Amino acid sequence: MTVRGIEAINLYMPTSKADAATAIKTDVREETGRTIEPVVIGGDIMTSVERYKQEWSQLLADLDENPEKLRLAAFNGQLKMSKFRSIHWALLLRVLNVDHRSWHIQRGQQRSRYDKFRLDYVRNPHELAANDDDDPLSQSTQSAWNQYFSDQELFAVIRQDVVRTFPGVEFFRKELIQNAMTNILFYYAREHPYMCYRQGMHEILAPIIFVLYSDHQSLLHFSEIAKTDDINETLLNVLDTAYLEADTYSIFSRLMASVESYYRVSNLVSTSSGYIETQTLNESSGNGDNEPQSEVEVISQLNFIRDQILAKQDQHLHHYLLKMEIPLHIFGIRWLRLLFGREFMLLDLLLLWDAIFADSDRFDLPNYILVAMLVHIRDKLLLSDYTTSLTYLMRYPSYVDVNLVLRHALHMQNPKQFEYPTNAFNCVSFTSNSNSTPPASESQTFKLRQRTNSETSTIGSGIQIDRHIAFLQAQNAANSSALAKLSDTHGAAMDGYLEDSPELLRLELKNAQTVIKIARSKLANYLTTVRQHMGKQSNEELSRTLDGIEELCSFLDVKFIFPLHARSAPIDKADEANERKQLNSARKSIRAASTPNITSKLVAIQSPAAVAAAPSGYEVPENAFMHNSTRRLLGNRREIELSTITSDERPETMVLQNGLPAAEPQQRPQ
Amino acid sequence: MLVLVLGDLHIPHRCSSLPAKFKKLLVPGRIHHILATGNICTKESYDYLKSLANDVHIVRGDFDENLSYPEQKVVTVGQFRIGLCHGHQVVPRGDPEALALIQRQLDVDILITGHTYKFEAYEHGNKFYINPGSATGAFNPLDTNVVPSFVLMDIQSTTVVTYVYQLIGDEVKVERIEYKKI
Repeated sequence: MTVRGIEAINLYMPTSKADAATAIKTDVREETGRTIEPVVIGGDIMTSVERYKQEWSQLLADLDENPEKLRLAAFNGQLKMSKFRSIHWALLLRVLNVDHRSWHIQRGQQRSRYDKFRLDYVRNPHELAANDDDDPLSQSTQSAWNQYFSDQELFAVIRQDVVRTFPGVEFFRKELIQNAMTNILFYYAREHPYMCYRQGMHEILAPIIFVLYSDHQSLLHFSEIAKTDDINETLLNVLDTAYLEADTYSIFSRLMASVESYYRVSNLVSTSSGYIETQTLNESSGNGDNEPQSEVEVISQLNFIRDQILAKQDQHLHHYLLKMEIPLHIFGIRWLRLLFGREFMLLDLLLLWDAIFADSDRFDLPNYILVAMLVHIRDKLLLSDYTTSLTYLMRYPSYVDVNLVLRHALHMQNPKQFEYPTNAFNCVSFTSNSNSTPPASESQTFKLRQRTNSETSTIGSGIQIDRHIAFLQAQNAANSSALAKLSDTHGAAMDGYLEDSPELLRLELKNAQTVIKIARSKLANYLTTVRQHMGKQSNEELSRTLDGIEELCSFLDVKFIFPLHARSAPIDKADEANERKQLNSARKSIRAASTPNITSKLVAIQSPAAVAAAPSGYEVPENAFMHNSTRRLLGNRREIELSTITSDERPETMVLQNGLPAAEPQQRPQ
Repeated sequence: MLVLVLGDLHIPHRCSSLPAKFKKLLVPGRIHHILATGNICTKESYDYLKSLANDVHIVRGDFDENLSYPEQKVVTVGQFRIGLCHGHQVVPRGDPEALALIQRQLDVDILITGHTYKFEAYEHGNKFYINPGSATGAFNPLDTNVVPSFVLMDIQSTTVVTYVYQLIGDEVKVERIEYKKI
């Protein structure tokens, strides 16, 4: 692990920075210039105002020239420092259209529509005296009183959630903001009775209002500093502080239209006061998703993500989740409904949302982000048991870099447009590379191996060979994962089909070697020093500890050689017919210690008699792959090591131990 | 502010329960105060009222088990002083002049009494008098055909809108009477 850290810093960081720099340079030069400058200059007030104005005119110019620039900027995370992020979002979500000259008309329409809500939905029955056949206890759906009381309930529910939004962020404690949020959610619920209000919407709303509010504040700030009235009129209109609620609502409702499938509940009967039904459902679904039937839509989407995207990207993880019986909806519903709001810090989240909004109306990107997030913690998941895995998923680790997740997701979604993040996922590179590069694409390897196998062994049914191959693949993968654990560089270097240049790989290898060497020599050094100082009064415990350290030293040496040596095993060689004997014993020796029943299988494949004798006796268990790989992954490295070294000496005894018809396979080679 | 006014339930002596149609209307969460004119008789009835609203005011009727209820009570809601009295003390029963005496005694804007088993609401000398009748339609010695009724007052500062709920036949009929304080 430490090796990886050092190596990552030394090797990956510079490249990534350079990459980022070039990417930015090619896109919009002026923009980056400005986004970086504020940090450097900071105090210079006049320039900051000018910069603000310049950013605005640049935005308008971009709109006139090429609106796609905005999309790219959002994908590249360049809105981070933007003072007009809310406008960017409005543009990306098409709340405002590209023609900025008509913005004030568009805004005007949206705002007057929002004002109308207040008239339509906030009616005080006390003042509606004219309505004679209405009374305060009426249960009729037409009744203003009934609506009034339902609204009160709805308000209370919304309020309860709103006051708890982002408990760590001071911004959301403000009375003004809380009231605005409550109003927006209320109007949304009334405007969309089939959706109503469901828990989670407030967390979708929160970042939007945050972005809008900060844009307003920076406009106020700059117009105050500028002290002149030459601030662009459109700008003043578009970011009018008086319409915080209305403008937030238009973005929010547009966004909800895209994510409403995550919230929709299929068995909800919509009525004019529909949320009473919704609420009861809400409670039941809140209690741990034990009602999957009622949330068919989002669950089917999650299943789609698992089977279509995750399975392609990371087979092991897919298998692992299936085997552990961790359905995606345990955590996925929350991830999607909040658009990952709980999984990342607010500022990171905004970055993620930039890209999501920039993507498309269908909101495919969240699916890929979800997978990228899973893949990002695959190491942790694969190495832990059910409970620990769940903990990781329910409380997503905070150190995960949102940029990497985003890059990876974008790459998965659109490999042509977006490069694979260079400094991401060391382990993943095994699996994803095996998908992306032609020579290793899953089906092709399969065929290739099948062919070589059928050439070498003329006997054996297709299924058995398939199983055998599957096992080999599994072992191959498990090996590489184990190697990855051991030290990434080995794995990466030996994997052979990394896209990176061999030069880089060699560097990595060298680096890792150096680190290991240094660690070993230092350890040895310390050991001798301690030994010297310990002198005569050595007690037994201490000396045993020192022996342990010494042992460790030697391991550091051995491990370094081991993978190279184990590596050759899983890949079949093309043998001549009379070479079978060597091959046979070699295979036995490799697998004898770790997987006894597989060994027997192997032997069985090569001896038709054995197959005939016990066709069903030595079936590979269905989950053998998982079992082996996890065991390997669980880091019992010493065992692997020993097996490769020692098993050469006694393959026969091992076979006998397994209860195999020993005579057959041993006689055949002779 | 919604104030429910009812009384003369006589459960379980003369009636088994409130009419089902009334029960359906009386849902928790809408009513803020309950003023009961007495003869609710048992603790169970009191508990039921308590489940509708937290603030329940009761005066003692001639058939109440609980003797600790007061004979008369004054409650202030909004800008109104509301007097509450069962009315069996008034002779002759339900006589406007006799009730006006109690109104002056208590110095209230609205006087609520029961005991006649007949809904009444009228202005007398600029004051407002309400008799919610019997919510269960319990019989009385003089009349066996009592129409179940209760009253809901919507009080907004100086205005009170009175809704009268009566079960005529099998239908709940609602009437609306407005009274403004001068």
